[in-house]
Formats: sequence, structure tokens, C-alpha cells
Amino acid sequence: MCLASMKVEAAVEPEGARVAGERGRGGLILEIALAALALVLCVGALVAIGELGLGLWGAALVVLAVAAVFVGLRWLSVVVRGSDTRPTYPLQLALPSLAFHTAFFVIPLGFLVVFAFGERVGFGGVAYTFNLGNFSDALDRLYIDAFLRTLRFAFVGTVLTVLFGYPLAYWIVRYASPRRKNLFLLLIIVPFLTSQLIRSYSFLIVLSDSFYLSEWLQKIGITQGDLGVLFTGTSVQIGIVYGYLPLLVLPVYASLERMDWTLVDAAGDLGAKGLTAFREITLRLTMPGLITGVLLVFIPMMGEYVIPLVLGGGNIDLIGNVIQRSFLEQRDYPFGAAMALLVMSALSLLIVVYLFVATRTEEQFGQ
Amino acid sequence: MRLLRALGSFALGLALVASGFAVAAFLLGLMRGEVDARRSVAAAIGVVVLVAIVRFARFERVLGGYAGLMYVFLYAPILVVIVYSFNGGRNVAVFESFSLTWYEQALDSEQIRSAVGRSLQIALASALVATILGTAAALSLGRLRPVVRLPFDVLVFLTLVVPELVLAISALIFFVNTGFELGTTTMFLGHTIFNASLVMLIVRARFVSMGSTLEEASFDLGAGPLGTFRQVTLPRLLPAVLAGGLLSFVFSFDDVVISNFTSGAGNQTWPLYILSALKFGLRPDLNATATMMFAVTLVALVLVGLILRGFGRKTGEASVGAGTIAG
Repeated sequence: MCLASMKVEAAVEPEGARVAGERGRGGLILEIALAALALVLCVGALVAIGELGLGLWGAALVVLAVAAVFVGLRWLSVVVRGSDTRPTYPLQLALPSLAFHTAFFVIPLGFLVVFAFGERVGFGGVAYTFNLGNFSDALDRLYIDAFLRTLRFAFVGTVLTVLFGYPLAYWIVRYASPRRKNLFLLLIIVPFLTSQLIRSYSFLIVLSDSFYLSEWLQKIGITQGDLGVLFTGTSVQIGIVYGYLPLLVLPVYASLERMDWTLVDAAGDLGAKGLTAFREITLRLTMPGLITGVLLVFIPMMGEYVIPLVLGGGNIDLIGNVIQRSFLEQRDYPFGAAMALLVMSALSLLIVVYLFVATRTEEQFGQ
Repeated sequence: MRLLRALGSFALGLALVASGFAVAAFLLGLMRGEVDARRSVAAAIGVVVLVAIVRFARFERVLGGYAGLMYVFLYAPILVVIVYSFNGGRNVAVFESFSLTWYEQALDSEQIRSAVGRSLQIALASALVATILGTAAALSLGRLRPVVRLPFDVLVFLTLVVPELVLAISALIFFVNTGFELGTTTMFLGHTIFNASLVMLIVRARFVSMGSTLEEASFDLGAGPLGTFRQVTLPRLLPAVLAGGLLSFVFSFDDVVISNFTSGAGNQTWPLYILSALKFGLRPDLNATATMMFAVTLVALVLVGLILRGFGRKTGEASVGAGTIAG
């Protein structure tokens, strides 16, 4: 991928090179070849960290050394060619990060795909074959049920976060006093950045039968007997909504904040008040933010396994739990990998359909 | 007076949510064919209240109450954990007396101390490396032509969008099969994948909005690329760089998913300690542990806030902080 992008740069560069005057084509090709070589070597060095057994800070040093290599490369080219006359930050600076992501993101994803077709050998081992057995195992009724359950939890969770989050963002933008607006926004950001784990486990206390909430609800007569929702689907659903609410509010807030509110006033003058104005103008204009927010909460909800682990007490099995167990307990990597690939493909399909529908309705709105 | 008004709004919001809940519960029951007298009465009252609110209450106040309720929903559980960390009793759900016993116990535990140390080390290393990689990439990509930039953008976007679980399992498979020993190193590398992309996005947003006029001026005045970077670009980028670094620290410090998969045996971080302890049920000392962890995160966040605020004041840009984080 990098090579392709370098070639593209090579294709667009000569124009600039002629302006600079002293930068020949041969020099440029040499520079690109050098960068590509360095990239390959650096990816190799990063992957070799494991064999070297360097420990945490040793590994950090190697990664930083990779960055130094590319800065050095850039310095070399400046020495050879003379400095630019305009402030540009060269492509070389993006290469350390590219090397890192190649080594620890792209290559591992490749491993994931290869493993999905492999065959399990013993405990945690694998034989590299082309074997579709993992996929047919993963399409078992049991796992399809788990997937559909996850879909239901994620769908209900997304709808609830929208119902909770949109009015909240709307209130901050529209009615909170301007002086306090940032404070109210900050109050949304803080929970988002504090430990998800602690925030989920807090419901172990709040929803417990011996906590005050259960008592109070009985006293006002809303429930009869103990609350009894802990370690059921309800507690997991509450935990999921609670965990992802801030993530929906932030993009919606951003799009509401950018909106031109005089349009709503104009609509009011023309006779569209209240709900009509909201539907015809506000909702339409904030649709991109809402779509982003929905994707931001729906995708991680589909992969969630910590909240059901903590609040489901082993009674609620989402697809994330199935994948987690196959890796950390059964050590059946090929099966887990196949399952993850299937979930990812289903998820991508859902997202494509959703985006198609959402942008279509948006276009219709726009007419 | 203002307090009274706020309380009134809050009550309105509560009534709205409660009646909405009653109606929804009734409809759900209807769908399943379970209709009982209690639910029907509750739903009827709910409908009346809803109509009354829509008809008579001012929209602004109802919405304010609703928002207030959401803030209570967001903060009450966290506050409960903090308050209960000072609970002297053994029962985890009933507050008995104020005491610091559980803090003493948590701080005495060798297991917790080593977990905290490990978490801090990993978060520091990850924040440092992610900041350097991310900032360098942001500088380069911020001024590149879109065609050249596209593959990089796709890669960064993918690391942020792929579910963390998938990131974690592919990292696990990769590490196990390329001679890595699972432990702090692998957790650090795993966290940095996400963090580097995060820093890149934050710094690039700031870098692009800065424009290049000042840098061109600096070049015209004879400062070289390094001089310009040190004297012109970096000082103006610094708030975004620091914010990115601190956010990376926080994400790495709180991370459960990637750590859970890439930690190997016996290398618990602080969140992993809490997760594994929860398998045997809630213990009172966990609240104290959680509160301390919460405090570390909060300190980092306050630092981010102060940095961004100081910067916002200097340049007169409002809500730099919010904008930076909300993207």
C-alpha cells in the first residue's frame, strides 16, 4: 500500500521538482526506493521485538528508533538536495506510524484471516490448511442465536441512547446558558473517558436487591418484591446504554452546535412551528452527526463482552463472549478467528445497508 | 427561586420519563399478551400525564428536566461507587459507617500495588510513543495531497472503527506466533495501535486549522525547516499534542479488552485486577481500588482541561477543548 502511495507521489511530484530546479528524476526515485527499503526493514525490526525479548521500555525504544530512522532519512535528503523553500512536512514523517500500523495492525489482521482457515491442533496450536470447517462450526444454531441476541441488544441499546442522548445534546446547545455550555459538555466527556469497567460494575451495587433503589421502588409501589434485575438481560441492557450514551451525545452535539438556528426561526415565520420545524430542519441538518453517533455506539456494542461478563453474571451470552471464550478459555484460535470474521462481515453489511438507507432519507429530506 | 424552578423542571422531566416508561411497559406487555390491571392503570395515568405535560408545560423546562435526569443517570452510579468506597461494613450494598479500612487494605495489597505499577508503566510508554508517532504522521498527512493521503487515512480510520475485540484477537494471534512473550510489552504495543491513530486525528485537526502562513513567514525570514518547526509549528501545536498524549494515557490506563487478550498469565494491570476479582463477586475493597483509579483518570483529564483552557484564553478561541475532543 505504501509503495502505491509513493508512486502516486512520484507521479505528481515532477511539477514541483522542476520549480525547485535541482531535483532530478533519478534522485527522486532513489529517495523513494530508500524510503521503501527502510520501511520494510523497520517493519521487520518491529516484528522482531518479540524474538529479542526486550521488555517494555526496550520495545518502546525500538519503536522510537524506527521514527529516528525516517527523520534521519529526511535529513539525508535535505543534505543531498538542499532544503525546501516552502514549509512542507515530507511523507517520510508518516512512515514510522505506517511501519507501526503495518506491523501490529495489518499483519495481525492477515494472521486472523489465515487462522480462520486453519485447523486446530492441540491447545492453542494451529495447522495452516485451507479448511472451511471453522466457518460451518460457527454457523451453528447456538451461535446464530447468540448473534441475533447481540443484534437485539445493540439495536435496543442504540435506540435508547438516541432517545436519551439527542434531547440532552439539544438542550445543551439550545437552552443551557452560554457561559455554562462548556461545563455541561465537559460533564458528558468525563464519564466517557473514565473506566468503562468501573462504570459498568457500579450497577452491581445500584441494581442490587439490597440497595436503596430496590427498597424505594417497592415503597412507591412500582415494583412488588425485590428488584431482581441484576444478572439478567435488563441489567446488561442498562449497562450498555449507560456505557455508550456519552459517545452518542458528542457527535450529535457537534452537529447541533454547527447548525444555523436562524433557519428554524425563518421556518417559524413561514408557519412551520414546533415539531414540524424540528422534523423539516433541525433533524435534517443534524442527520450526519446522528448517523456518526449511531455508528459510533452500534459498532462497539456488537463487539461488547465486558458488560455482559460483569452485569450478566454468565446468564447472558453475547457474540463477544463466545469469541472471548474461544480465545482465552478453549484456546481454539481458528474457530474464534472464523467467528470474528463472520461477525465483521455481517456488521459491515449492516453498516452499508444502514448508511444507504440513512443517506437516502437524508437526500429526500433535502429536496 | 432559581433552585425551585430547577427542581420544578426536574420533577417535570421525571414525570415525563416515568409516564413514558409506564406506557412503554404497557405496550410491551400488550405485544406479549400479558395485560394486568396494575399496568393498565399505570399506562392510563401515564397517558394523562404525558398529555398534560405536552399541553401545559413549557417545552424548555421539560427538556431541561429531562437533561438533568440524564446527568443524574450518568453520575449517580459513579458517585455510589465513590461513597461506598468509604463504607466500613462488609456488606457491599448497605452503607454502614464511614471508614478508610478498604483503602488501607487496597494499598497494602502487593497484588494491587504491582498491578498499578504495571498499568502506569504501560500507559506512560504508550502515551509517549503514540504521541511521537501520531504527531509526526499528522504533520506529514496534514499537508499532503488527498490522493496520496487516502491510503493512510483508510488505515487510521480502520484502527479506530474495527471493534476493539477484533483488534485484540488479531494482536493475540500475531504475538503468539511471532515469538512475543505475552506481558507488558505486548499490552503496550496493542494499546499504541489505537492511541497513535487518536493522537494523529487530534493533532491533525489542529494543524490543518492553523494554516501555513506563519510558517511561510518563518521560512522567508530564513529559519530552516527544523528552526521553523521548533519555533513556530510546535508551540502552536503543543496543546493538541499534549491533549492527545494525555488522552492516550487515559485510554491505555483504563483499557480492558486489549489488555485482557494480550496480558498472558500473571501480568495483571489495574483494570484486569478488578475484572478478575469481579468473577468472585463484588468485594468492598474493590470500590476503594476503583475510586483510586477513577482519581488517576480525573487528574489526567483536569490536566487536559487546564492546558486547553490556558491555550483557549491565549488565542481567544472558545471551546478549543470541547472541539478538540468532540472532533
